[in-house]
Amino acid sequence: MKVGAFLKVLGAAEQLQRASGNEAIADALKSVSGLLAGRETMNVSAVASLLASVEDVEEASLNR
Amino acid sequence: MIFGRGNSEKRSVTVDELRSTLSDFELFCESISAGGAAKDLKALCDALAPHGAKTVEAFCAQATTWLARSHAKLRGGKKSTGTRALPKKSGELNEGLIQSHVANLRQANIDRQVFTAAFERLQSDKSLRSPDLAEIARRYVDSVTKYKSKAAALADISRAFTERVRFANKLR
Repeated sequence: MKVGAFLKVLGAAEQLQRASGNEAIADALKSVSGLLAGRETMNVSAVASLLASVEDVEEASLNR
Repeated sequence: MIFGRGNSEKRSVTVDELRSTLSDFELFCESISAGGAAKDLKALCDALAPHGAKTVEAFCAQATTWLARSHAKLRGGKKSTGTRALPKKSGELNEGLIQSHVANLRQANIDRQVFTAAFERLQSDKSLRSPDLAEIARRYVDSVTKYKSKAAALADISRAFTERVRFANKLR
């Protein structure tokens, strides 16, 4: 699935959370959606790989 | 209830809490035969797993920086887009990149950890050409050396750092 479509899924989840009164989780979902914004044409799996590797860089620089 | 955890107060959500919500939503997607969405929600959950203990805000801030850097590298590495970070003329230096790397190296001062991080970023930056790297070395080392290779420039940067550390230690 492309990020563009996936953002709509996340948007729906955000709306559901907000409707349930879970503002904090809804805001968290919005933040994650913000991370994906601008990458609508990429595949979600590719962006997920990018997000998974964020930690690698941090840990690498901390361990040096 | 799948989605309602009944917590309306404003607070920092950890990535693990968010993953739990995403997992719930994944189950929901599976139940309505939205396999594609469920698969991608799982992929996102798995990707977030190593960051579980962080708050979502902290993770997003860290990820934004990292993704921006990686995007810049990708743009610099592509040859066909016409938006290369590298100047096209052979004699032109990539001044922005040079200043950024020199600043990173200088910022380390005599802190080896910071220097190593900056040095490895420099080594792994594929958008840097040999003349750029030589210029970085000249500015960091404060010399007019004509480096014959990237390796020579990197070695000189490393040597200059060691000299700085030794000099600082002597003054103690």
